[in-house]
Amino acid sequence: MKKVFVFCIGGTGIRVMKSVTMLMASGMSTNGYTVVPVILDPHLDLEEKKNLHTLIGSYQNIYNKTTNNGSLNHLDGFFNSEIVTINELNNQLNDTQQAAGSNERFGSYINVANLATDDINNYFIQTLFSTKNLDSPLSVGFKGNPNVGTVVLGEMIEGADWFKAFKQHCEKDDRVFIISSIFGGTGASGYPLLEKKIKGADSQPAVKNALMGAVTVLPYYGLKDPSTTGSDIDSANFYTKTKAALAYYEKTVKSDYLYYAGETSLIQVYENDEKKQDDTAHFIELVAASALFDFLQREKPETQQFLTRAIENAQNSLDLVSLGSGYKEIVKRVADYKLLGALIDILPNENYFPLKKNRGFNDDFYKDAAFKALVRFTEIYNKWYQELSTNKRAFAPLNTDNLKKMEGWVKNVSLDAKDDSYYLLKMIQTSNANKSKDHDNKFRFFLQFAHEAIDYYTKKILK
Amino acid sequence: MARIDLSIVDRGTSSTSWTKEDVALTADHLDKVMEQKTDNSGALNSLPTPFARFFVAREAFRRVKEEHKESRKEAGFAYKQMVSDILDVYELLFNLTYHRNNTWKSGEKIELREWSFSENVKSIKKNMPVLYNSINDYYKSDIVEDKLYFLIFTENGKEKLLACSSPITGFVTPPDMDKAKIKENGSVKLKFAGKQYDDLHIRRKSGGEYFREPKLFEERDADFKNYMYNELFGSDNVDERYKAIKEYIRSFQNDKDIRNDYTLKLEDVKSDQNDNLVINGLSIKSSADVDIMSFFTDTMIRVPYRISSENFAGMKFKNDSKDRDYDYLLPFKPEVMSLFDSTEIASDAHIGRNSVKVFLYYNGKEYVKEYAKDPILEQGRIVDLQAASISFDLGIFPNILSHKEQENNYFKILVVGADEDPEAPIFNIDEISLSFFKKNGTDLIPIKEVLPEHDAQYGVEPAVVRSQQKTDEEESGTKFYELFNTSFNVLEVKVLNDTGLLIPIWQKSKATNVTFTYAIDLGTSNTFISRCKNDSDGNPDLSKKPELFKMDRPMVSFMHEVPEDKQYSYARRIEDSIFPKAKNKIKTEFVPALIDGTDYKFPIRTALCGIHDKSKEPKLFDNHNIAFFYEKIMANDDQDVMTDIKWDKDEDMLRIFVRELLLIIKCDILQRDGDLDRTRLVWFSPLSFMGQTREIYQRIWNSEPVNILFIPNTQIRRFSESEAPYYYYKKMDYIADSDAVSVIDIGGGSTDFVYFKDNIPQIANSVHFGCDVLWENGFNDFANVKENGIYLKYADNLRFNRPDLEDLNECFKHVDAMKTKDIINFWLTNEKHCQITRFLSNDFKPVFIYHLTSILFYMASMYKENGLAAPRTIVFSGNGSKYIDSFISTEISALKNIIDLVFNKVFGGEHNVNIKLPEERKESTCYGGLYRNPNDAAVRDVVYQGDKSKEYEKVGDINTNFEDLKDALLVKYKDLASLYKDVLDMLKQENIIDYMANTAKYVSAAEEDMGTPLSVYYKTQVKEKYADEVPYKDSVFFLPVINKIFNMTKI
Repeated sequence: MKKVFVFCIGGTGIRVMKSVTMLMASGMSTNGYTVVPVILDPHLDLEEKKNLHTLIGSYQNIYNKTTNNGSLNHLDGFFNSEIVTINELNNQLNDTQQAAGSNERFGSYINVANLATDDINNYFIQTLFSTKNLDSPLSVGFKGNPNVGTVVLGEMIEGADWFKAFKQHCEKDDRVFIISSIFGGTGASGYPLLEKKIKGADSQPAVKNALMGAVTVLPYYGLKDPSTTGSDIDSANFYTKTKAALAYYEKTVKSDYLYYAGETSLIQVYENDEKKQDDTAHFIELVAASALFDFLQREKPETQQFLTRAIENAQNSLDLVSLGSGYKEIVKRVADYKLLGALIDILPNENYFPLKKNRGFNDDFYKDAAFKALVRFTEIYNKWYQELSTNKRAFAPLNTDNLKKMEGWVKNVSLDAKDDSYYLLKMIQTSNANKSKDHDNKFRFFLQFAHEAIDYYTKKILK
Repeated sequence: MARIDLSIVDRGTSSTSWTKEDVALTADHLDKVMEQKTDNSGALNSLPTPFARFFVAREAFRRVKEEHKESRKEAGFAYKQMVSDILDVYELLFNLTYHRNNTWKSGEKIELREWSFSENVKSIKKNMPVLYNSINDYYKSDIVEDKLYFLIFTENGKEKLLACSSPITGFVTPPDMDKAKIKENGSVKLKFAGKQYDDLHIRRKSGGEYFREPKLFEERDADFKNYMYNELFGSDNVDERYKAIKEYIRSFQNDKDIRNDYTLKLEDVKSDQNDNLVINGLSIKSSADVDIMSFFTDTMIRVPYRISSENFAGMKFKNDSKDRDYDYLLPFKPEVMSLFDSTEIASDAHIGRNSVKVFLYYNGKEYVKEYAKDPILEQGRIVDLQAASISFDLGIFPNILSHKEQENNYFKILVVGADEDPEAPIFNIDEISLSFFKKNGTDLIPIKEVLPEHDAQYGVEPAVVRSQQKTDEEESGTKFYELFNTSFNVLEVKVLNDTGLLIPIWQKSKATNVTFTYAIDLGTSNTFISRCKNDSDGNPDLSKKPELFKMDRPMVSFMHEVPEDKQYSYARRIEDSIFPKAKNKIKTEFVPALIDGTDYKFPIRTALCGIHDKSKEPKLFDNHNIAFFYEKIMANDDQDVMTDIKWDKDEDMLRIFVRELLLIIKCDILQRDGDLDRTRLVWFSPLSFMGQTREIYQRIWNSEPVNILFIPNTQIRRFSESEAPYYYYKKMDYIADSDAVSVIDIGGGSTDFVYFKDNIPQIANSVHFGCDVLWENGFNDFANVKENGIYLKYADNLRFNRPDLEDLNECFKHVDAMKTKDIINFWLTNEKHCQITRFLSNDFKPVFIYHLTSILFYMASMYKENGLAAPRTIVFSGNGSKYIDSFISTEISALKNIIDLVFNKVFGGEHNVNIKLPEERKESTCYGGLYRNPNDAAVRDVVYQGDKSKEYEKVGDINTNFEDLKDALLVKYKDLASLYKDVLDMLKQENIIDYMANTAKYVSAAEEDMGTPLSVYYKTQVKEKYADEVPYKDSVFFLPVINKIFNMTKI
C-alpha cells in the first residue's frame, strides 16, 4: 500500500481536505495512493474539524462497504481510493493538537520564569515576543501569531505520537502533501515548520526523502471589520502578511512541488469569528484540493517546481467555458456525483426498475445501512456543492434543477441523456452485461452500475 | 473577461491546468498587489519563525518606501511607527554625545550590551529548552550573525530595552514598544503595547520625544538625514540583507536636506565591551558636532494677537510697529536654552515684505533663519494660525513664584483652542500640546509627563481634556496641565506638528517678615474671605480693620496682550480680549484672572462647577472649579453647578472648593510678599454640624492648607460661626450695653445664637433653620421639585430690565438641577433689575414674620430654660437676616416691638430691647474671627429641642422620650401660634402690614396641627437617619415649623 500523508494545517487545511474527500467520492483518482490525512489545528472544539472527521469516517464506511472491508479491489468510479487515518495506522488515539489547545500561557510553556532577572536573555525574549504573546494561553496564542505558533507547533510536532507514527509508517515511495494557508496563524507557521521537521529527519531516509508537495493557499476571502466583532484577525493585513511570508518562504521552503492557489482580490467577505470558522465551501479550496490529485500523478522532479493554474474567464459564476479546459475532469466528476445523487433520490421510488428483482435493489436494499450511509454522504455533498455554486466566486458548472431536461445537466455541453430514464436504462444494460460472480455485494454493484451508466453519458464532457 | 491566474497576482499563467512556473512566487512579484494599510501592530508577527520581528521590520521599511514613492500605497500606522521607532534608535545613537552632554542630567544613560549566540544561548538551552529547540532551528538561517547588541536605556535606576541590533534593518524595537491609537476621555492617544514604556520620555534634540509620535525620515533633521543617506547607506558595499532599509533611505535622493557634499564630524559608538558598534558590516556612528542652526524650528507659528509682553518674553523685533496685531512664538527648539546662562534667548527678528528673518546670537556669531508663508529654498515656513482658522490661548495659574523654591509646588495651565473654520472641523484641542522645561544655569531639564500612580517626586501630569469642541457652532475645547513640586521657565507649544517656545515672565515674591491671617467663612449660600496683616508676633493686628479680600494684580498669566483701556476694569479687559470662543470657557472652567473687588469679589456664591461625567476622579480644574461665574452666565451643557456643597457631605467637592480658595490665598500672600508658611488661617463651623460633617471639615482643613500654604495645623483655628460676629460688633462699638447681649446669626442654612454676659460668651446654640427654608420645598427630597409658593408666584411673571439676566433666568428655570432656592437667590442677587424685594414684601410678609417669630420664640425659650435673663441687646448678623429689613420692615421700632412681644410671652413682664441690624452682616463672621482672641476658652454649646424638662443629648434620648417631648412642644407651638397672631395684629396697628390685609388665613395656618408633622418629620429626618448614640446637635423644634413655612408660601 503506497500512501500519501496529507497534512491539513489550520482552518484552510480542514476546508481543502473536505474538498479532497468530495473529489475522491466523485471518482478522482489518487493514482493508487492511500490518503492518510493528518489534521493540525489548535482549536480543540472547532465544529468544522469535527465535521471533517465525520465526513472522512462516512467516506471510509462507504469505501469499506464497497470492498467488503478490503477483501475486494477498490471500484473504478465513485469512492475509488482508500482513506486511512493516522490513528488507524498507528492504533493510537492522541489528537494532534492537545498541547496547543491548552490554557497554559505561552510564557509558562517556554519557562520564561526560569531565567534569572539579570540574565541578558530576558532582553532576547523581549525582542522576540510581546508581553501579550507571553501572557496568552496557547489555545489562542496562534491567532495571527506565527512566531508563537512556530515555537509551540515545533515542540508539539517533535514530541507528538502522531509525528512519531508518521515517521514510523512513512515508507519508501510514500509521499507527503501539506495543505496550509499563508495569511493566517496556524497554517502560516505550520507549513515551513513541518517541512523543516520532515526534511530534517536524518535518521529516517524514507521520511527525509519522501516526495513532497504542498499547496499554499493565498488570500481568497476577507473578514468583516474586526473592530465590530472584537476579533484579533484583521483581513486588511492578509496581503501584507502574505507578502512578508512569501519573502520569507523564498529561501526557506523546499517542497518538490509547491502549488499556489488564491485570488487577486478578496471577493468574498465572511463573518469575523474564529471560534466558528464555519465559512462556506469555496472554489479556491476546490482548486487547492485539485493540487493533491495533480501531485499524485507527477514523478520526482529534478528541481523544485512551482505551479499555478488559471481560469479562462474571470467571471463571478464559473461554468465549464469560463473555467477552461483544465477543469473538465473536475466538472465531470462533480457532475457524475450529482447524477448519482439524483439516482439515489429516484430509484427507491421506482417500482418498475428491473434491477429491483434482478440485483436485489429493493426496499430492503434501500433501507440497508450501506445505502443509508450513501444517502447521508450525498446530502453533505449536495450542501457542499450548493455552497460552492453560490459563493463568490461561484463554481457552478451544473444545471441540476430539472430532471426531465437532463441534457443540459452540464452547462455548455449537451448530454445525450435527456432524462433520468436514460441512466436507469443504461444501468440495466450494464447490469445485464456484468456476469461477475466474484461477490454478491449489492451495494458495490449499485455504485458500479450507476457509475458506468453515468460515465457513459458524461465522458462527453472530457472531449 | 480575460484569463486570470488563481493566485495573489496575475503572472499570465498559460493554462487552466496546473502549470509549472519558472520561479517561485516571491514578494517581488507582488509589487502590483495593492495592500491595505496596516494600522494594527498585531500584524507585525506574521512570519513562521521566532525571529519574525526582524523580517517584519524589513517589511515595514519596504511598505513605507512604497508609500513614499506612491502616496496611495498607504503603509498604515503599524508599519510607520515601527520604521519611526527604528529610525529613532539610529537618531538617538547619532545624537548620543549631545544627549549625554545636554539632556540627560538625572543619571539617564544608554548602554549597548553584547549578546552572543554561542555563549548566551547556553542559558536558554538550560532554562528554556522548548524555546531553545525552536531558536536553534532558526537562528542560524534567519539571523546568521553570532553577536547581537541590546540597547538599554536606564532612568531612575530602571532599565528599559529600546532595541536589539538586526542584520536586516540595523535595529528592531521590542514588540512591547509598538503603539496603538486609543480613544480616552474623548481624545486619541498613543498607547504602548507594554506598560513598561508608559513612562518612557526621551527628548529628541530636534524637539518632541523619541518613540512616541511617528516621525518618518523626511521629517528629521538635515544632519541625521545626511548621516543615514551618505554615511550609513550611501555605499555599494552595504550587505544585501539591508536592501529594504537601504532602498527606503536612498529613495530620498531628492530631499531638500540631502547633499552629497555634506560633512559631518562623527565618532564611533561603543558597546559595554568597548567594541565599536558594527552590525552586519554597518558601522554605527554618533555625531560630534554642535549645530546651532539645528536649534531653529522648521516652522514659525504666527498667532493673530500680540503675545503679552508682561507675561512672556516674546519675539523682539528690530523694526516693530505699534500697529502690529499679531505675534510669533519663538521659533526655537527647547534645547536652544542650553546655549545661554539665563532664560533670555539672545535673539531678535526683522519683518520683511514677504518674510521674517530671525537672528540668534551665540558666541559672538550671528545665525539667521528666514521664514516665509510660501517658503523657497532654505526658508522656514510661517504657519499662520489665523489663516488656518485655528484659535488658541493659554493661561498659567498661579503666575507668581515664591522665593522659597519648595513652595512652587503647583501650577495649572489652561489651554483653550477652537477650530474657527465652519467648513471642515479638523482641528481640536488634542492637537495642541505643551512640554515644560526648567532651565537651571545652563542645564535644561525636561519636566516629564508622569502618571500620579508612579509616585514621581515632581513632574507634569498627563493633560486632561475638559471640554471638546464637538461642532463648529460650539465654543472652544479646553485641556489642563498640572505641574507638581516644580516650577518651569520654558514652555514648548505644539500646534498640529509645529512647535514654538514661550518663555514665561514670572512675578516673584520677595523675602520679608510680613505675615497675614485669613478668615474664611464658607456659608451655605455665600463664602467670604477677609484678610488681616499680622503684628510682629504673628497675630492679627487688631489696631486695624480687617480688609476685604481683593487683589491688585492678576494671578493668571494669559498669553494674549490686554488692551490699555481704562474705561473698563482690568479683569474685564483680560476676559474680553481673549478670542470670542474662549471667553465663556475661561470664565466657567478656570480661576478668574484677578479678584479685583469689582468684577470678581467676595462674598461669592458657595457654588462649584463640575462636569456631568461623575466617573472621573474629581480634580480641581480638570473637572471642577469654583463657579465664580454663577448667576452671571451659564456653564456649557456638559457641566453642572452645585450649590449645596456645605451640607452635602461630599468631601471631594468641599475639598476642591477649599483648595481653590487656598490657592487664591496663596497667590495673594505671594503678591503681598508675605511669608507663606507663617500664614494663619481661621475657619468657621456652625454648632449644628453633625458628627460626620464636622469630621469631613476637620480633615479638609487639616490637610489642604499644609499642602498649599505649608502651614502646620497649629496655625489654623476653627471658631464657631455663632460667636464670631460679636467680637466684630463689639470692636465696632455696636454694642453699647454689654450686660446681656444675644447675637442672632441667620445664614442660608443655619441660625446661630450666642448669649454674652459682660462680654463673656455664656452659651451658644445653632439650628439648621436658616433663611433658605423660605425658598425651599419643605422636606421634599427631590432636588428638582419646584413647588415653593414664592417661586411659583413669580416664576412666570418676573421680568428683568437686562436682557442677559432675562435670558439667564429663563435658562435657570428650565434647568432641572436648579433648585427653587437657587433661582430665588438669583432674583435676590439681581434685585435692582427685577424688584423682587418689593414683590416679596407685599405678597409674603406674613410668612417672613412667621419665620422671624419662630426664631425669636425659640431663642427666648432656650435662654429662659437655660437660666438666662432676657437679653437687653440683640444684634443680627448673617446674610439671611437681611430678610428682616428687606421684607418685613426697616423700622427698628417695629422689630423692637416684635421682640418685646416675644419676650413678654416667654419671660413675662415688660422689656425694652436694643436692636442692632448692622450693615456688614455677612462680613461680621469673618472679621469677628480675626478679632477673637484664640486663647479664650470656647463658648459652651448647648442643644435645645424646645423643651428642657429632660436631657436630650443623643438621638436615643429623644427616641425614648419622644412622646413627652412632643407634648411639651405642642404647648410651645400653641404659644407660638398665639404669639404670631399678636405680632401680626401689632404690625397691622403700626401699619407695617396693611390693615385690610387678610392675615387670618396665616393665623389659621399657624394654628393647624403641628403634632402630625412633628412625628412624621422626626421619623424621616432624625430617627431614620441617625443611630441612637449620635449626639443630636440640631433642634427638632423646627421640623414642623419648616413644613409650616413651606405650606404658608402656598397660601
